[in-house]
Amino acid sequence: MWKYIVKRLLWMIPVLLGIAVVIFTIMYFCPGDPATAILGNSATPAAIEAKRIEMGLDRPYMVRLLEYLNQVFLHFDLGTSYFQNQPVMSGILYRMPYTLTIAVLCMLLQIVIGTPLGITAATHQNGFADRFCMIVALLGVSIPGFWLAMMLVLLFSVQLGWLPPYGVGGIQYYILPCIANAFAGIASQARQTRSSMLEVIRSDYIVTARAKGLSERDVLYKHALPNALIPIITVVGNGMGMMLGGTVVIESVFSIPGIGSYTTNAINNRDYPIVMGGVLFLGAVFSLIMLLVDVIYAYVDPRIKAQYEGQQKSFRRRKKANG
Amino acid sequence: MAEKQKVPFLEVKDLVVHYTSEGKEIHAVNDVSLTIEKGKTLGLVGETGAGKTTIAKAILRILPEPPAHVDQGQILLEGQNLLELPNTEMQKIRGKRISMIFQDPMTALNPVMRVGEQIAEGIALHEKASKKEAEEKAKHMLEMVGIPGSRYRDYPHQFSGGMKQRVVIAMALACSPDLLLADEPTTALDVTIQAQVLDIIKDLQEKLNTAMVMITHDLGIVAEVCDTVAVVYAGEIVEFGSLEEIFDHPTHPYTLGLFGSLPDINSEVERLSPIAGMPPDPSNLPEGCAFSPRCPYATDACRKKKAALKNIGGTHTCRCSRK
Repeated sequence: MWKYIVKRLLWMIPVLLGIAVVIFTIMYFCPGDPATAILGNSATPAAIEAKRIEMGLDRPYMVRLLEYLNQVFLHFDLGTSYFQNQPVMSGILYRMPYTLTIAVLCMLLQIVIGTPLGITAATHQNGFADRFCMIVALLGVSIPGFWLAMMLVLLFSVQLGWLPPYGVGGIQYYILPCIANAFAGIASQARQTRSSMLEVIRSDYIVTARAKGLSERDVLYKHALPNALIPIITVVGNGMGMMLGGTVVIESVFSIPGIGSYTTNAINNRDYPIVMGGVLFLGAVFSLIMLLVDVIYAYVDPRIKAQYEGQQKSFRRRKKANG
Repeated sequence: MAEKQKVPFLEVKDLVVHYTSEGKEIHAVNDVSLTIEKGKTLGLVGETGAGKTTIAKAILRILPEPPAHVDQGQILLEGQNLLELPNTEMQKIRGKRISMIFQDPMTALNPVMRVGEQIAEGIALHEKASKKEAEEKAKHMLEMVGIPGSRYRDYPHQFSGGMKQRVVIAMALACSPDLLLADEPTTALDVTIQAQVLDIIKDLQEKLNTAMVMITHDLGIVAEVCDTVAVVYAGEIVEFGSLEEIFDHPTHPYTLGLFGSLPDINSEVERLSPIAGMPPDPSNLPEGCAFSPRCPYATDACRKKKAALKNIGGTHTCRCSRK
């Protein structure tokens, strides 16, 4: 298992290199000029040209690309923002706690509410509980997050005055953003859990479990759910990766200084180091989450674990057989 | 005592089961009555789709409802009607007094649970054993079916098909049931393993004085293990009798057809003589005798009116107007 994890971690290097090359190239060919953005539209062409030379933007593509890769991968430096005179890494790390808090809270809501909804729907297939859960899930996937966010602000902040409408601070600041953000996740979690449970409930081994005399509860939680977990974990992992990249809409509605607004503002400002750094960071986070998901798979399903370990074991066995 | 002996160990009376599929009613079991005595083996013989498995699952009450529905009938275990028991009472009978060996060992075991635990689970439940005792007993059961107890902690994917089937058998016999429903326990196995598995079942049956329903379409197995035989066609029993009565005097044209389609090494024939035609569509059974469209002796009377089960000597009964 450890060998597998190390192998996957090593694989992340070429993946991140690829991401760096692609995002650098996209930004290189992107219309717009950071020098103009910094000096403003009133600056003279000569001043802009001088600034471009100062920033090194006049040099050829290959030189700049290699320089960037060298800086990122050999010196672990994502560069410095053009506008904020702050290293990109510290900018990301400063915003990380806000994004991380929202992501983790949303994940918890999604797991704690979405999974039971899906299980209830599956066990009462076509009954009232199923219809109800699926209507909630349908609302969840179809209601846009920003609209829900604004409605929640209207009700709980403006009308009732219970919760702060925007900003960051104590836990009360996170309640509305998390509800607004998690609703879609809860919905997709419920739908995924339902369909995955329905598939498992029809399996022969569920009949076997029932034939053993187990109670419905044991059949459901000891036999059905562990088998239904793989697709459920996939949904959780994807959602987590997405949310760690920042939730632009929610961050702007609630004025939260998260990763999402950091990178989208940088795109508008042509602040290339932040854009590239942000994308690389997201790539790294996503790869790590996917690795974590794959490792969890192995613990949920012994067949997958056997697959991961298969190569090593068969190698060892062959060595033994050959003496 | 004399009173008690009149009550058969298990009696199925007038059982009718149908499935609903896409708005069509599928008549799987039509008015089946059977009795089984302790320590004896009843063979249920018939083509695929004749309703044999449905009868067994109805006895254990593990039919999926919906789509299945038991319309009428009684299943009396020592006089107690299982169909009227509350679910919690039925759970105490499943796996303890009645257990079932399933047809397909590949899918009958939970893929993410250790095989030993799958056996121990039922023991812990029914015999109020501690985890440790249950584990010991489960290991003992594994050894009884010829699998080393050290493989307790293995997962189903680490076993071959024959070993999985033996695990399924160990699971079914773990709590020394009074009645064993064996649903084609050897169909998925190759011939050498078939003999082994049958020996294991027969051995254990003798040791534990278990009554057994052996569901099969293999007349060789019937000859080897059964005491009485019921021939099932289109959800009905068309002929019933002791092993000798059925094998020495097969009477119903369908039974004759079954024997006719066996290869006989003593006669010089180029081809086997299969029963002409196909089993009837259970959603649209023919009027009159269900076998009449394929029966070489069918008369107009057969096509209009179904024959009743008639006693034709000893315990031998047959549903045919010719006799």
